[in-house]
Amino acid sequence: MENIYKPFTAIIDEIRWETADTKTFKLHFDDPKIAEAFTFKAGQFGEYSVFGEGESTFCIASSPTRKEYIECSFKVVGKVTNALRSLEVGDTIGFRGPYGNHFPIENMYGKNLIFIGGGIGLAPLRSLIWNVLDLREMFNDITILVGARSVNDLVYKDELTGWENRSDINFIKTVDPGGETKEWNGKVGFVPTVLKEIAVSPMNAVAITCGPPIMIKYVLLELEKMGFSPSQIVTTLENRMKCGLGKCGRCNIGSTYVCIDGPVFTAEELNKLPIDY
Amino acid sequence: MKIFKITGTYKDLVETLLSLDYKVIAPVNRNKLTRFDFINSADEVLSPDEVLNTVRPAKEHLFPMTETVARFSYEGKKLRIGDVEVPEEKSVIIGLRPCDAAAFDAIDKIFSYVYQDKFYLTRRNNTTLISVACEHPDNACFCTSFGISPDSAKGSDILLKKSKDSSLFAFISTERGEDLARTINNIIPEEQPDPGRDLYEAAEKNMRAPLDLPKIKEALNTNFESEYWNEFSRCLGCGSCAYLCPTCHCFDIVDEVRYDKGIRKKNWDACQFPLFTLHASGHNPRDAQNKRYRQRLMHKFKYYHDRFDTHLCTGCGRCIRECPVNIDIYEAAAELCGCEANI
Repeated sequence: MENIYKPFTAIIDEIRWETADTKTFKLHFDDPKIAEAFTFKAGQFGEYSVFGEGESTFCIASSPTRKEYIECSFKVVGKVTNALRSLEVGDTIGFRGPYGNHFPIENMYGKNLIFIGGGIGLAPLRSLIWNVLDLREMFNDITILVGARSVNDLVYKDELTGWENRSDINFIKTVDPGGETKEWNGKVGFVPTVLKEIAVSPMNAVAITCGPPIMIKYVLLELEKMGFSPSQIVTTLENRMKCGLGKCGRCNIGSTYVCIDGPVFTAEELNKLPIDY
Repeated sequence: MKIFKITGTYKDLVETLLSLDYKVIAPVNRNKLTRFDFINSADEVLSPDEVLNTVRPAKEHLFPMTETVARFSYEGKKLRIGDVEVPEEKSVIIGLRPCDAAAFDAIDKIFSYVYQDKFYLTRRNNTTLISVACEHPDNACFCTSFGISPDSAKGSDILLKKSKDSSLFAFISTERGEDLARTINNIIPEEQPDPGRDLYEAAEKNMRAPLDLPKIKEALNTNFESEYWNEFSRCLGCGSCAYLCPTCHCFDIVDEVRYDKGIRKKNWDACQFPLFTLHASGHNPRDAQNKRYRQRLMHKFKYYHDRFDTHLCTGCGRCIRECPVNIDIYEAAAELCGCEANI
């Protein structure tokens, strides 16, 4: 039997500071056979480890259409992320995955997609956004609304500029009131408020959102007011995890395991869960 | 089910097992703690008449309290990750009670669900369970709530039972049990009629009345937000219930390192600990002890059942006997649905 707790090794090819406390790693698998065989879908996650410190759970933030590498973004908050912060290009980390379900991209073909991301919550959406952009003709209109507490807290800044400059994306960026700078040319306002302003149509649309819990809560309310049915709204959750394999017993919300049944849920599915997240 | 008669005493049987090519695990008294451990002689074994049930269940022999799942070392920047082999050693656990045997059936589900945990499953496949029926359940026992009984063979490869005249019988329900029985010369290889369950019927009458599990589940379905849970704020969060439970399977994964070498371990964990679900952000979905007790009860009587059609409790009564603040899971479940706790 295979050892489900044994990670692969992955080498850090590139490190980017996204904000003062958030980093992105670009990784490739050490073993060419694993690199060749590895596939995942947007929305899935992995267990990343620094040996001696432990494992942490992050989504795979790159697109499955970019097969040569994977990327992850993490905020430096705890033991493992502090250890990850001090690593350099060429260093090795552990990776287990991909785990969990994925964004239902097969239900999005030909539809209008509205992405609503807040802070580091943009990371899982980014995987799907690039997936969709790499297959652009398969989808209808694309709206991306990105928010952060302040200009400095926006992640993937270069990519945001790229999306803003594309004519086939309706791109809106915003920062919370007080988080703007003199040079800021985006909107000022909380993500749900800006969402209300831009008033997207629920016709033939799917909304995909991720961000801080409080943002998700109000975004869901706004979308429902605009006429989105709960089945048209997709989000991705996180809960503390250890195994990622449905065994260690801590990420459950009621009978639902975020690691096995999630992390991607429609609002329809979320409505059925107890408030235990 | 095949029934055979056993010659000699229980200790003679243990003696025979020790002469076979198996590691033998049995109830012993270690530092005033009754638990299952490897034995070298039948003399150190607590007989079923000496102890109803050990304080610590046999679970730790298939799912150890702490266990290495990977090794790693650094040579400069080069990282090596090593696998950990689980030895294919045959072992036999003798002396466990029907509740503990049934508990392995329950946790088999989680360790083989979607992903196969080779650490548990390899040991499980190499372990033969010889349980002993209970003549004297105590007032914390409630196995009959879960379709188990003092002489139930559920989960056992071999169940030892006494007839009215105190002759010992082996009830064999699996091939693994038969394989072992064939090598035991204390077992007369001639099938016997069922000696009856007089002793155990009498024992059953003294136990707590079976819980109405469907009714409890219905109550759990609708009472997630109930004030009822506030009563369990008195839980100290010591985790004794989980650590002594034969079905609690939750664990943590941690690294231990010394210089440039280390191990990754899987350690028992418990939903009663505040850190269990604490996010790095500081957010904690179960930020109060009553919510953590709710999780415990829900997991055992609803969540696990929703997914696996099995309850994550076999009524062994350990958490009831050992809880420092007298939280009684049987009462907690019964009272939730307005049933009288018939103890």
